[in-house]
Amino acid sequence: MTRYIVVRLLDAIPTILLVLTLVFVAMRILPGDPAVAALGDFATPEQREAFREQMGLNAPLWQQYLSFIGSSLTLDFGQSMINGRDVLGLIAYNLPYTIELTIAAVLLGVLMGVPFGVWAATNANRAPDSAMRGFSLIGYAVPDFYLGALLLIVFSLNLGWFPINGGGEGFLDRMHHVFLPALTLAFIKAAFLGRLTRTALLEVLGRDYIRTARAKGAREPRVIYRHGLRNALLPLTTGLGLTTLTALSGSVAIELVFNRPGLGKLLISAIAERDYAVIQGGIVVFALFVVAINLAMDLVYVLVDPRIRVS
Amino acid sequence: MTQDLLRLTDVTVEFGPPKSPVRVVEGVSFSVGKGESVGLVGESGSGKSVTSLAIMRLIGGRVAKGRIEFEGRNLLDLPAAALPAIRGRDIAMIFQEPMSSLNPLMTVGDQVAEALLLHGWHNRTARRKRTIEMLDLVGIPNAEGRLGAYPHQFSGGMRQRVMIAMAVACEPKLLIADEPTTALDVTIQAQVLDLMKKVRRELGMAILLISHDLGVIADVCERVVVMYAGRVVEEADIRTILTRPQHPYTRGLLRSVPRRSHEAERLYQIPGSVPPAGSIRQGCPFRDRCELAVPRCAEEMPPMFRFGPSQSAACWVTAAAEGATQAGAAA
Amino acid sequence: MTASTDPVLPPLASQPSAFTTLRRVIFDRPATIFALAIVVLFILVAALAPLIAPYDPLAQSILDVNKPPSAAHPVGTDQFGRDVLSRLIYGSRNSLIFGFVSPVLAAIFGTTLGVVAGYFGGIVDRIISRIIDLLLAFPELLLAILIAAVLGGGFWNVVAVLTVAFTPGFARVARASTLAVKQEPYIEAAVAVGLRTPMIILRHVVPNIAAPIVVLTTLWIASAIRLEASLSFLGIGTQPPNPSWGNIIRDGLNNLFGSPWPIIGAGALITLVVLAFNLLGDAVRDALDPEASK
Repeated sequence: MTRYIVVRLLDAIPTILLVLTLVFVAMRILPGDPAVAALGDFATPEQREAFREQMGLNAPLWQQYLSFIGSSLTLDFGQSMINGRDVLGLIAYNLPYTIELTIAAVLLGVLMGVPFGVWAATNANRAPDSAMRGFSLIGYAVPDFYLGALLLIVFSLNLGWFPINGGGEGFLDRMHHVFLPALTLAFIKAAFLGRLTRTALLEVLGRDYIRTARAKGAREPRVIYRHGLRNALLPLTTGLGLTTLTALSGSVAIELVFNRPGLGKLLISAIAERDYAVIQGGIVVFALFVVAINLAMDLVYVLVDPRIRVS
Repeated sequence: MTQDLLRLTDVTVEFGPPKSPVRVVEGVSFSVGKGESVGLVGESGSGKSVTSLAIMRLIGGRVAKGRIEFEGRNLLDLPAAALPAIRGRDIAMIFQEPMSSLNPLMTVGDQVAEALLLHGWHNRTARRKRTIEMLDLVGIPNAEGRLGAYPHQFSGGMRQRVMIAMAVACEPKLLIADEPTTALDVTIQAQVLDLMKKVRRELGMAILLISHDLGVIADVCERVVVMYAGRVVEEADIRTILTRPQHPYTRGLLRSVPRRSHEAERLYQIPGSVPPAGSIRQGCPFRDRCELAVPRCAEEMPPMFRFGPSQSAACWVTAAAEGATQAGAAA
Repeated sequence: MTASTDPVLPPLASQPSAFTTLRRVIFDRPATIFALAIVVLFILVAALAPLIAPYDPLAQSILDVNKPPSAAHPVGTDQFGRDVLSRLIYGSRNSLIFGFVSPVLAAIFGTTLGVVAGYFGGIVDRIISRIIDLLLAFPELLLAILIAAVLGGGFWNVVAVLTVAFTPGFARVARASTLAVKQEPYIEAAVAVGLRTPMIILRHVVPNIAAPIVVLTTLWIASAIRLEASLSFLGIGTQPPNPSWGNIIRDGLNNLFGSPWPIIGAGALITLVVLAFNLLGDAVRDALDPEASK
């Protein structure tokens, strides 16, 4: 198993380099003059030249590439074009809110979805199962920002139970602020996780060792949980990784809906303001997170499945 | 006669919608005495597995008729909640595919210990000790060291031994073994069968062995029940079955066993194939493949006829030939 | 999203009863009939928008700002006095175009990439596969956002973004199918006869991997619609004042205290149309490849 882990970790290095290369290529093939894009149409030629110097755009391409890789790996993203603040600092301020939201969304999603899935599986083809199917149909179709907007209107605007915007200060206040946004994402994650749990559990419950467990004298709850659900955890783990990824990508829109600070909001604002440096930093950080989550997914899977662990 | 441990009387098992059920097993009656080893033999489709699963109510179908009595109590009358107490403790079962029948994510030690935990062994140390004893009993080398191993780390034969250890850990009175050696190599088969005989001797257990292989049954069992198309067609002690079978199907089975003395001959095969479950509504289900069939066979299902103190078979023709009298109400 | 990312859908032999199966799967279930009706309605509305819409979607009116639903404005007006219903109707055109065009383009690019990788193998395959796997590790929306961050919004950019977001999925399926087809004897025969490679690919490989590609395309129409809505909501999709269901919600959020109706209306439409396409896509998949469901 150690060998597997080491191999996976080593494999991450070329992956990260490839990601950064793709980002570099994407940003450099951007049509048009970055100086114009950043400074606007009315910048003077001197200003544009100064910009190009500052951004190192006059150096040969390979040099730009290497310096990009280097600065990305050291997380040196330079200064914001709009307000001159340190990009890394901006990211460091906003990132915790995004992480908070993502984790909360996944947790709530699991808490809502998995029990629902178990209930549907143990009542296959009866009412709870149909409810699950209906729930997941809606969950797959409704846009997360729409659901968020609806929840915002009802619970924050009309009922006033939750704040309309912001991230909050201090633990309890932050929990208060993150609840509705996380719940929005969680509903949709729950639809996915519920369906996955149902399918995985049903498949496992059809296996021979379930029959053995009953033949041994295990009562139903033990059969379903200790033998059934425990074995269904394997596909669930993969599903959990996927859920984390989609929660991360959904957080961008949700931060906008609830006017929450976060990496996504930062990136979107930077796009609107054409803040080149922040856009670059934001893309790199998001991409690195995705690679990290994928890696974590693989490693967790190894831990959960003894067949890989002990051989 | 030894007191009956298990007695099936006129058991009928149905699958499918109650309005149009498929009868997979019909009118099955036999018994297993205390400490006795009985074989249930038949081809696939004979209903033997369904019957054995029905005893512990592990099947998806319904037992529509009949009684399954264990130590005098009708198991079919028990509420579902009462069954787990009996399973594993009074009656235990092992299955055909040891790999898929063991939980791949639980250690072998935990799985055997679970059987103990479920039936009152609350002390962890005692469970561990007993688990090691059981694994030793079934011949797992270095039992203590292998408690933390997973099923995929064992060979097929070893896994079946683990299943046996798990099944007999609570010293059940009856062990039902559903094709325990079918998925194993011939050499391993012999080892597992020997193990079963040994365990039976040491624990005084009764065994109900289900198999399609007469050789396997002959090795372990004192008495044999032959099933075909969901019905019992013959029942006798092992010697009689092998030397003087009275049902054409049993005779056909025996003829199909390859024998060294008949090496040069073509292997015999009973012509035709097993009818699909529930397709024969009237008459003897074997009639289409039977050399001795007469018109009556198609009209009426023959009852069990007595051919001797320990033999009965359900055949109009042989009964008439031997002058057998009809067996009375369930033996 | 029900988009399938199974790497191998079995190449289908031509089935004479494919259409019959499809008809049966669709019309036997009330849910899919409903879905089909919604889809047809959607296409009609989008196509006939100029004829159906009661007002010019861009026409502003200071007098009619934030009116609640009424006979004159069934879904009310927004903060610029624009009729929401007309904007919703015109918005359907965006969804329709992006919903159909992007999966088709992605299918073309992705299939080309996948076939090249699968057929030629070697270092080409390894490079392409590596990139595809990497892109697939990203959730579609995030990938789309990151690309749009570079390109910005606007019609063609959105087409490009959506196409790039879906291409890897098609590429993987095409590659897997190509690998399977490559083993077939008729490929060997074609090579032996001396057929040149481009001909082999065009006439023998492509037709035989067409079926799973088609299924995938239908499944991803729903995803494309949803993705475009998300991008427009974020401001990196269809640019205002052009109406898109996504940016109608965005405008609506800036006008929360004014009127919630644009949000409610636009979101409901997105949900409905995506749901309908999902159901249809499931039916198509059930009809052509029953194993893949569940």
